[in-house]
Amino acid sequence: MSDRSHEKISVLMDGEMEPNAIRFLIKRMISDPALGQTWNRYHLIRGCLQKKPNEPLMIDVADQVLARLGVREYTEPEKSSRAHAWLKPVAGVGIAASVALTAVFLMQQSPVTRHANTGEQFLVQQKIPSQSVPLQTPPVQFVDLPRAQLATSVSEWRSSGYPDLRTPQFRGFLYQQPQQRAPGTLQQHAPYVYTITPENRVSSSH
Amino acid sequence: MKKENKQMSEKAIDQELVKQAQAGDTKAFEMLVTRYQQKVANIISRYVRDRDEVLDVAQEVFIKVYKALPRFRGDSAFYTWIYRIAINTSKNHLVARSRRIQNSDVEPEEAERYASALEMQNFDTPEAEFARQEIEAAVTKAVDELPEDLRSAIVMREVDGLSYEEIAKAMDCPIGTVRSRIFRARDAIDRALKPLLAEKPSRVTYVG
Repeated sequence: MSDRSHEKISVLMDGEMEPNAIRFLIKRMISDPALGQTWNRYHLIRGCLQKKPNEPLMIDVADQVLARLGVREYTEPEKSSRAHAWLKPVAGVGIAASVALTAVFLMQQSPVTRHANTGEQFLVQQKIPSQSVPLQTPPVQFVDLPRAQLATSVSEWRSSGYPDLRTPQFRGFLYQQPQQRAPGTLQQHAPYVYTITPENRVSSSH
Repeated sequence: MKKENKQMSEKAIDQELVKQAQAGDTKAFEMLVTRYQQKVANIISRYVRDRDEVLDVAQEVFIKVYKALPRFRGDSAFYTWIYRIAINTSKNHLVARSRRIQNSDVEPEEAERYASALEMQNFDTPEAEFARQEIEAAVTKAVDELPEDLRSAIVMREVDGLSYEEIAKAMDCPIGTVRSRIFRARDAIDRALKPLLAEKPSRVTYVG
């Protein structure tokens, strides 16, 4: 787009263009958005210079009119069709549901954890139980440890939706907490679930 | 260009835009609105004092124009046609407003509150009003900063409404020079205006 095109627009809006050239330039402005914008801005300048003090400066009237007629949404950053406006809430609910479902799914899956004492990494495989017994205890397999062996968790695993607390930090807290309690307190009701680890399983077998 | 030729040129622009708009081209309708929106505001302001109401009535005018455009045959000039619609819409607005207040069986203070509530149905956000003022200030400043020859040319054209031929006589220069000066003036003002238009806040419209 050249200055020459802008100059032609300037001449056109002043009514100084030869009639045979008018049609061609108008068609160009209709098809070229940048030229159309120039037409708008030049008229805005005209509006500023010609308006009386008590008059408001007219901006975007065409957009507002077309929006009120339902021909087009008013110029928002995200333009969308009015015909599909009903999709917005439905899409919002759908996105929220899928995010919630993903979060629940991820919380139920804790494939990698860290050994509480050694810090060595091992894998916990949770086989999804059959649908007839949805809340059965999943078998746990420890691998990559020097004394790797098959173990089964005795805790009843439930899909509660709460975050997985079987982290090294939380386990450490549970192990240390009863020892720090004063005598006479409810040590026997410490709110944790006993978990079999390779160490205590070996020691309990002796 | 002679005055009668200038009128023919103006008429040819309207005819072409109307023809395209009647064929369903929304962009052509937008260009028509842009071309006449300030003139329509000027007509409405003679009847309606409140600036927000002027904006509302102007919208009503162009909605009527859009709906009636397929029936416009071009027997009169487009501006004459739109001028009549603007006057009738302004008068109807005043009648409807006074009827709304008369029909409401309320105390004067209540009526005042009711009237202002009606006015609140469609109004500019403070940001939009601020943007308007900013645009006007930017244009005024840009005009003031123009070189003397450009400023004289654009003022004679836009404020005094002179033709290129008349300006050429007044400035004692060829018409081609006038054309160039007016364009350069517009281009300079446009460059000052562009950054402001990039982040122009929208007008809030409440449908109720």
